[in-house]
Amino acid sequence: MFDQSMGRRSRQANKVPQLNLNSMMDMLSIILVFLLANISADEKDFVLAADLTLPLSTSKLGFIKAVQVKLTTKELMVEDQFVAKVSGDKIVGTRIEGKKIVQLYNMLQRYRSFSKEAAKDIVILQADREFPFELLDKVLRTAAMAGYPNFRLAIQKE
Amino acid sequence: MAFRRSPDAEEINLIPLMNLFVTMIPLLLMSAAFYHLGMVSTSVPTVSEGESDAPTGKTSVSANVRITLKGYNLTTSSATLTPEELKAFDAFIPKKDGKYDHAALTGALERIKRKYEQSDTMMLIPEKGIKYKEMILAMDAARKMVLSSGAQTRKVNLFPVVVITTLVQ
Repeated sequence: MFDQSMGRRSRQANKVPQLNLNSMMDMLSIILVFLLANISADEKDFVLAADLTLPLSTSKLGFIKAVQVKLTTKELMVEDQFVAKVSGDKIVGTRIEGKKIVQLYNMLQRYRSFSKEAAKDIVILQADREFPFELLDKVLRTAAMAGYPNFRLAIQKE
Repeated sequence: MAFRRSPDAEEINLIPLMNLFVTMIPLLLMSAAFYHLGMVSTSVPTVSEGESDAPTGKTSVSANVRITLKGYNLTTSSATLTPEELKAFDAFIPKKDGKYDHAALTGALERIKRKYEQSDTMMLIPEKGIKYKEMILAMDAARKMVLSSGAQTRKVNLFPVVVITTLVQ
């Protein structure tokens, strides 16, 4: 009797414990579904500039392909090409004639001549939400002078 | 001697599926968007040749929303209405507790839209010092209105065409 009980215990001790994978599979499936739901094909092509916080909006408008102007707290760029420095609420280091930022104007005109985008007269503007209107106005007017009077203002959906 | 199957149910081998999931999760994590980006459509006034694209036939009204440091100043303009008729829609919407009253702006624009439903253009005139985020919030307030008929509600366009402009001083 004593020997039989000892033998059973010994067999149980030698048995390799099996991991229960079912709960792990459940967890992984939930994570997978969550991640798949958060993938947006449109947003994949959109590269958000560093050093800016986009304004919040309820707009549901989707992305289009167009030339991007980025007005960050440090610099003004067209796509990823440097145009001018931004210091505080001012654009510095480039000639400004009235409301025309000359360097931006020249660069946008160059883009316009090369661009094969369907939306040829549209600029996507990424700008920091704390910027005052005067600063944005200069960028918007310059783009309009260069042949881009229509804009898509990049926002963060609420 | 006949072979007898074990009465225990056979377990599915989940390891390959686990491997697939574990590979997919980092891949998806890299391309997942944890905050969603969108766009707001707008334009600036330009000189163009040819005829106006303003709707003809039914009367339409343009809403001019001036964002001042004290609140919204709403005026209207139209090619067909008299200044007296337009004056009825004029409104000053002051800030409430230091914040712009977006709901009141939507309400004021709704009154115009209900009377002249062809209207869809808003001229946004921010004053010096107005922040970009305030401009976006004003555009949001002017984009949609809620129509309710019985228990059903639906959102319809209010003034979705926004033109950003400045006052000539």
